[in-house]
Amino acid sequence: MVHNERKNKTLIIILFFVTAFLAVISMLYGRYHVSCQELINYFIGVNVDTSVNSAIGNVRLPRVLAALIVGSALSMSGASYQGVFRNPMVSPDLLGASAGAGFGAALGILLEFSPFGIQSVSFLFGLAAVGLSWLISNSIGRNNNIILVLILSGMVISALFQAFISGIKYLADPYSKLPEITFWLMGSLSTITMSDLFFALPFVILSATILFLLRWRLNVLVFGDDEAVSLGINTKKLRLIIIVCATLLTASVVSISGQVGWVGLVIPHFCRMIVGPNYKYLIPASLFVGGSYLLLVDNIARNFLTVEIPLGILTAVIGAPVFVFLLLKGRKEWC
Amino acid sequence: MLKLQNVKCGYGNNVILNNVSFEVKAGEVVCILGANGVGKTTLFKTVLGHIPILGGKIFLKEKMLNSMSIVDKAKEIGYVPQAHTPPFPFLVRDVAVMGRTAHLSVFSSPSKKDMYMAEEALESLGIGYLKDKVYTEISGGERQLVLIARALVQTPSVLIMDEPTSNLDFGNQMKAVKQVRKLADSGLGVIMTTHYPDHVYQCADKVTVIKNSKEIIFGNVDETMKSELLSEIYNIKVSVKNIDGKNICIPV
Repeated sequence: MVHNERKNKTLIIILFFVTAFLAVISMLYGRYHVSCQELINYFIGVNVDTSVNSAIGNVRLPRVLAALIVGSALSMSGASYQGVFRNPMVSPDLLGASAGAGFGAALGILLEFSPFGIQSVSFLFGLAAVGLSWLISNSIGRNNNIILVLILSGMVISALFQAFISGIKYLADPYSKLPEITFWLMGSLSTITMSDLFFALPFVILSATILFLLRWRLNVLVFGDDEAVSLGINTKKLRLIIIVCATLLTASVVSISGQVGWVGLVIPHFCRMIVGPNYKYLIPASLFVGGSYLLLVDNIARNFLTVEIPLGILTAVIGAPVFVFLLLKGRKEWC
Repeated sequence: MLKLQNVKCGYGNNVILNNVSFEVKAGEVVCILGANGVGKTTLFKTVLGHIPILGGKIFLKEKMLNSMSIVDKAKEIGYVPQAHTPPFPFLVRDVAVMGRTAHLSVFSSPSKKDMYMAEEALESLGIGYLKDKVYTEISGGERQLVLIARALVQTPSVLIMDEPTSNLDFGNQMKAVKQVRKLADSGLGVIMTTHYPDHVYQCADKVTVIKNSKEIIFGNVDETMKSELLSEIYNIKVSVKNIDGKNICIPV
């Protein structure tokens, strides 16, 4: 399939409108039905009913925004990681961001921190885990196959933090703390508030902007260090910047949503099928498709059954078969 | 143009080559010949700055090469690696235009003019028809040419080619060798490694023969490439014959 520039630009504009449309639709549906008129009234600020005001302002709007932000951040992060590691099978938790954030949150819950405290600890441990992987790989690797060494260090650190999570679960009170930790680890947007969003947003905006600006250079990095250097790229610096930004994206959204898996792996794949592998288009496509995808899945999570389905379960249940389907359909695309 | 002076290269304490000295001028092809594992790739890596130089000096147009930035080096030296398959299915023209990287500012992507240059380079190598094909789906020989096009849009003054004839069939080898000669005739300095002495006779002006880590011989092709030396480096008996005014190398 030929992905020409004009077609790709049109596709990205269409994706933007699809995302915006989905966001509006998602505001209307839920346990409390909001009509179009009420939604418009809410945004222009006239004749707003108090129950509508609270349904949209306190529940629906933060949740819709959160789904968009978390989905976009995870898939942009995944696309970037796949480029840096030159491997389409890589997801953004490769270097331990998710495991670290999970441990931080579990620790925060165990120690009865405030929601803000839990997020902060989770975020910091997410970053710390990746930092550790980076340090270990640098002390082992130096010149020889830095990428492989990084992946292995990431596996070690992830395994370590998973073990710490198990340790905390073992220590936690099985009637109050343990369910809370378990629920957090499954990932959910049901309790998200505007202040949660404001916690993640600065990191998301900053790192997403940097990745967006540097996106074309990711193409060159895919050809390996030796070639990228001889084409004029300081690979060590670029790789570090991209890993830092992608990790900030993942850690900051995971710290407010919990572990939402598969998005960072599946969405970049899907986007590569529609716009091709050129990062110039892949990054914006991942942004919109990731946001819409998680919004759709979250709509299912809150509307499908009378009880809320944890988001992380749904993304896996939907993501895994979709991934297999993409692999079958696009074998040529990645091997 | 590119001049190596008593260069010592290797990895850390492990010195692989000592005292390498040679020069490539504009319009010249210098071939590097040597047995497997003798250090040709290490030498390239040192010149390209992938590994630090252990001793000696490399000059590019009278400037010390290791004092130049990565971007400045990329504007002067184009590198053509052996063709391999990247993990993602890029289009041929997207691969070729990556040669413009050093000329772009950090946050920008290639302009229409850059893309036009890439397409012209593909055209000049006779593979313009491939530009909308998927790079991972074309043949090894075609990929090699795309990589040459990518190096050309860097607008370098020196081209470094790592076995441009490996993995090619006989016909494509000859085409590649002719292409190398053509590039040099257009004013580039070319350094290439090869495992085929015949290719040296066909396209090179000078040759650097790596006998072992200490004995490195540099000179004109016809004076240097004698059967004794070739027999010695490849450890087989070799005879150099002149047929129709062309030297060829035959194992006996």
